Amino acid sequence: MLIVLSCAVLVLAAGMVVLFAMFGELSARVGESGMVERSTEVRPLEGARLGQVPDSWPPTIGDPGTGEFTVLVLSSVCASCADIAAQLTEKPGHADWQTMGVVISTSHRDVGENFVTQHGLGGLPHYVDVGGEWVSGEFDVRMSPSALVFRDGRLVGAYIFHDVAALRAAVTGTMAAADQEPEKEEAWTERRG
Amino acid sequence: MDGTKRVTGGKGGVRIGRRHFLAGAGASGLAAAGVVFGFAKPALALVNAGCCTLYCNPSHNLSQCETGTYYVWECTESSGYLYCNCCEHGNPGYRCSKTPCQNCNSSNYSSYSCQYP
Repeated sequence: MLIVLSCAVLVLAAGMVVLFAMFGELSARVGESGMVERSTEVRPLEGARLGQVPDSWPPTIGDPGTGEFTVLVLSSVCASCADIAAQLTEKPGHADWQTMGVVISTSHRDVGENFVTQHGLGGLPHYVDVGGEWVSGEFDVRMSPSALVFRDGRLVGAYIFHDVAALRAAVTGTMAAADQEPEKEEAWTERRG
Repeated sequence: MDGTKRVTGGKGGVRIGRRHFLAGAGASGLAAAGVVFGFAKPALALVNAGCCTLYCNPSHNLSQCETGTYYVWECTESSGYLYCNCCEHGNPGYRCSKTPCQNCNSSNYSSYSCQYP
């Protein structure tokens, strides 16, 4: 009798575990669909040194090459940057964005590396920028989340964004327009500068 | 009859089997719980303040934080219209395993300040 009762308790316990697992999965899925709507606006970041060709370039974020390259600037103290990291890594993510690298501005190297690990950014080209010295020193940028767009190694755009897909579309569109009408892009850059 | 004989007898054998079964079930349950929960990496929940995520509950103002060894960075919230300056003084995140960090003190602390542009 006791064995039968024990088996029943075990079965019930297993059932409870499965039930809680199902609740967890359900809440995760509801959370995904009911997430706070983020702004898709991509706004110019004032004060960045447009036209600047950096003296140094962290090799771990990829080669800027001769075309367009985008650097996303995140920070370990920025709550919205965690959301950007999630957009970059969670399905479908943006691992296919070949001309993109991530810079993580942080107070200390271990804090920045924790941020990379915690948010699964290790698979993307990235650089831990201690003190934000590279980003602030080269481009006078101390804001996250922000994006720096380079063309031929030169900073041609700096933006504040919260939606990676919207940023990517904007950057791609801007660059396509620049390819078609270089004079207009140059004039736009000069106005911004 | 003493206790030893009872447990080795017919009915006692059943009792031993029962005990073994229950002990095994309990041990299996503990092992399973250990596997499921024991190896889970403890989540480090930081302190959210505006669009900042800090190691310590903000305890100083921004101008106090921006002295000596500090790290300050600006962020915008998801709507993009609230700007905050987030500051960590010293190294409150050093070997921090739970928040607010155990090493938050007068040398290692956090602060923030938000405004609309």
